[in-house]
Amino acid sequence: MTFLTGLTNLTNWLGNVIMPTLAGLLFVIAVLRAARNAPFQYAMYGGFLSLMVSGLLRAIETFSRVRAWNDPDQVWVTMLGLVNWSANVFLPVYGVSQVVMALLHYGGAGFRIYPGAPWARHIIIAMASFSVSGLLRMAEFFVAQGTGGIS
Amino acid sequence: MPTLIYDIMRVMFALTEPAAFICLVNAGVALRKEGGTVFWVGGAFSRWMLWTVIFLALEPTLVWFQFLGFPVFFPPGAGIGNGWLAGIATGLQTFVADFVVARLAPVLAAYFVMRSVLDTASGTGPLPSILSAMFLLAISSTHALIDAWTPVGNRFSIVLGLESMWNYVASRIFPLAAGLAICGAIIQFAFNRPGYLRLVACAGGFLTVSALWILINRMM
Repeated sequence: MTFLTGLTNLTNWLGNVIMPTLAGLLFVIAVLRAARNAPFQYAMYGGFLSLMVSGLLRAIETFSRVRAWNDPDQVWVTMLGLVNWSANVFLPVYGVSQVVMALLHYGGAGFRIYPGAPWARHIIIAMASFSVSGLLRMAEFFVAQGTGGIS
Repeated sequence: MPTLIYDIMRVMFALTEPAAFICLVNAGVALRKEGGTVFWVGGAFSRWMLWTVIFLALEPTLVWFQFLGFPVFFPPGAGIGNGWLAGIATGLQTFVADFVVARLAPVLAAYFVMRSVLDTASGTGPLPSILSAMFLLAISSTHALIDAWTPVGNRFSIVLGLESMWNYVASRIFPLAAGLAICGAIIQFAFNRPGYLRLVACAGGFLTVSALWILINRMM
C-alpha cells in the first residue's frame, strides 16, 4: 500500500466512475429546477462537464506541456494556451450558437412561442422528464464525438 | 571504547527506525488537524515529517563531525552484544512494528474514514479525512521511500531526503491533485458555488509547479 497508488485510484474512481454517474443526477436536478422556473443552467452544464473530467484534465495538461517541465516560461505558456483556446476555439463555437439563437428569436421563438411561458415550460419539462436517460446518453454521445475535436 | 558504550550506541541507532514510524503516525494525525488537503507552514505535520527524515538520516548526518575534524567512533557492526540491551531494542522494535504500524495506524485510518462521512454530514468535504486515512495506511511504504532517499555515508543526507520529498510531491502527487481539483471545480460549478475558477487555476498550478520554482529562481 502506497500513498501514491491510493491517490491515483481515488482520482481515477472519482473522475471516471463517480462523476459520470453524478452527471445523471445533475441532469435530473436541472430538469427539476427548470420546472420551477429556477436557474438550471449550472446543473445542466455541470452534468456535461462531469462527463468530461478526463478531457478537461488532458486539456490543461496539453496547455502545460507545450514547454518542458524545467522551462520557466511554462507557467506563462500554459496561461497563454488557455487564453488562446478560449478566444480562438471556444468563442467561435459560442458565436455559432448565438447566431442560431438570433435566428430562433427572429423567427418568433422569443415572443410568439416563449419557452419561459408556463405552459411551454411544463411541456418541455415533461418531455425532458420522460427522456432524461436519453438526454444523458445524448450528452455522452456528444462528449464521445467531441474527442476528435471540432471539424 | 568500552563495549557497553558501543552497545548503547547500537541500541540508539536501532531505535531510529521505530522512532521514524511513530513520527509518521503523528504526522498523519497532524495532517487531518491542519486541513487534510493542506498543512500549516511550521505546523505539526511539517515538524513530524522533518523529524522522520532526521531519524532516518541520523547516522549519515554524524559524518559531519568527521568532516569537521572531530573523531566519531561508530560501533563496528549492528549486533548488540549485551543481552538486556538487545532485549530492550528488540522489544521496542516489535512493539512499534506489531502494535503501532500493524494495528494502531489502520485503526486510526478507519476512524478517519468514519470521520469523512461525518464531515460530509456536517457540510464540509470528505477529502481531508480520506487523504489522512490514506496517509496512515501507507506509512510503511512512506517509511521505506524516505529511507531510500537518505543515502548512507552522505553527510547531506537530511537535505537530500527533503529534496527528494519535494521532487516526489511536485512530480507524482501534484499531477494527481490536478485531477481532483478538476472534479472539485465541476462540483462547485454545478451547484453554483464560488471558487470553481480558483480550482481550475490550481489544476494549472499543480501541473506547472516545477516550472514555477525555476521561474522564481530566474527572477532572483
